[in-house]
Amino acid sequence: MMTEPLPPAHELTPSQTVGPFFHFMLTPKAYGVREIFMADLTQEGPGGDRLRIEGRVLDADGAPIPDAMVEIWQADANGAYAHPASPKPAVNGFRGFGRCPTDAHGAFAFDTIMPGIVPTFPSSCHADLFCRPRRPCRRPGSSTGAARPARHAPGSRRCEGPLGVHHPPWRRR
Amino acid sequence: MTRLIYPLDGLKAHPPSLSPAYTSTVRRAPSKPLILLPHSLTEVTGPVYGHDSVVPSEADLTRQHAGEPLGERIIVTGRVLDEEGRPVPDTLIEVWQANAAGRYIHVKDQHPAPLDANFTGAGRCLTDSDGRYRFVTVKPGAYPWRNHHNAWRPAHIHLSLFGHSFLSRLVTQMYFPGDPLFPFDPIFNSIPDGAARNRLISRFDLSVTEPEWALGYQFDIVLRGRQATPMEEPHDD
Repeated sequence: MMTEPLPPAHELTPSQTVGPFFHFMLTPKAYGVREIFMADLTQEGPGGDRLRIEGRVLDADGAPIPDAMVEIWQADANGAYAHPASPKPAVNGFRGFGRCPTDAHGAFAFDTIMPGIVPTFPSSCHADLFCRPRRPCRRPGSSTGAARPARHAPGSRRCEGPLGVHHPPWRRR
Repeated sequence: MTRLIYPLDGLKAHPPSLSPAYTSTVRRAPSKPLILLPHSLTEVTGPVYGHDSVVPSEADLTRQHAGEPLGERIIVTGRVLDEEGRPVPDTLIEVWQANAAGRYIHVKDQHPAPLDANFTGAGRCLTDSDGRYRFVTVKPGAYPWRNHHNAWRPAHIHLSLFGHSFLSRLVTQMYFPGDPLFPFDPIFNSIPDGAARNRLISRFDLSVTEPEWALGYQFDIVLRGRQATPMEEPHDD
């Protein structure tokens, strides 16, 4: 929480659509561009229970959205993030960030590990959906809602598609 | 349980999900109000990348192939700040764009303008300790799209940024000053506020321009800041 006086506010840069042609930069493997974000987070060598997250991104008619991108961000198995604000450091080498484009059927999949419980906060796996024309839709799921992980909450957008982490009952608080 | 709520006022700068003139919003925009989800440590953290993630040459889009791309060589630079005016250092910027003829290398771009064997149009860099970034590229061309009859996008460069946390994640587009297509572009005009729209237009800068080499453009980017209000909330399980 900020306590010191703040300098004059700067106004936000507005977002614009990610467009349909992002793949050659954001998920560029097929274009010979060096790829730094993948959908398989287990390559970073974290310990923990393997987790696979699959889903589809659909429009209001239920038609697949083939040009969307999903990003996930999560803690390691011990509940630590690879970030300075994390109360404890993440296991060596685990960044906890993944990115996956949707395919022709609107489908995406991540291979990762079950995120651990984070002290004082509900454990969660954060997901952002990027799709033409939308700017990011945020989709945090929480352990408190893990049995119904924010996937079809009232008013939720079909465009977000189902995505959530089911914690096994013994992991839930 | 303590949770964090981020002030939402600044988000009015963004385009609404439904902008009917941009026709693909119609079936893809939510039809019900969004649900405000309290933030946890998951949202107030975000991916951090060190200098080992980015190769310096990736910031020069004109030197990724055997020869130089055709087009008007330009330098794009600016600072990434947060709403409190603090520089955002060491944050990743990814950029992608059409070539000088207005054609993307993307396999699905069928605009009958030539591809350039010396131009991919993809780059990335990190901001320095003062929040500054710099790319060298060629000015992208305008290109047609099928949103409506005779629809053309103003020349633009796509940008993706992370910032402090996942709350500051931003995907946007940078435009060029004086583009005659601005009044006709439903994507640019999906931003309701004219002043906010103008923040997406870069500024020609002679001091960035390098003699006998490249024109210079300045484009500063403001991301969400770190302010969040902790609030007590009943456990909902």
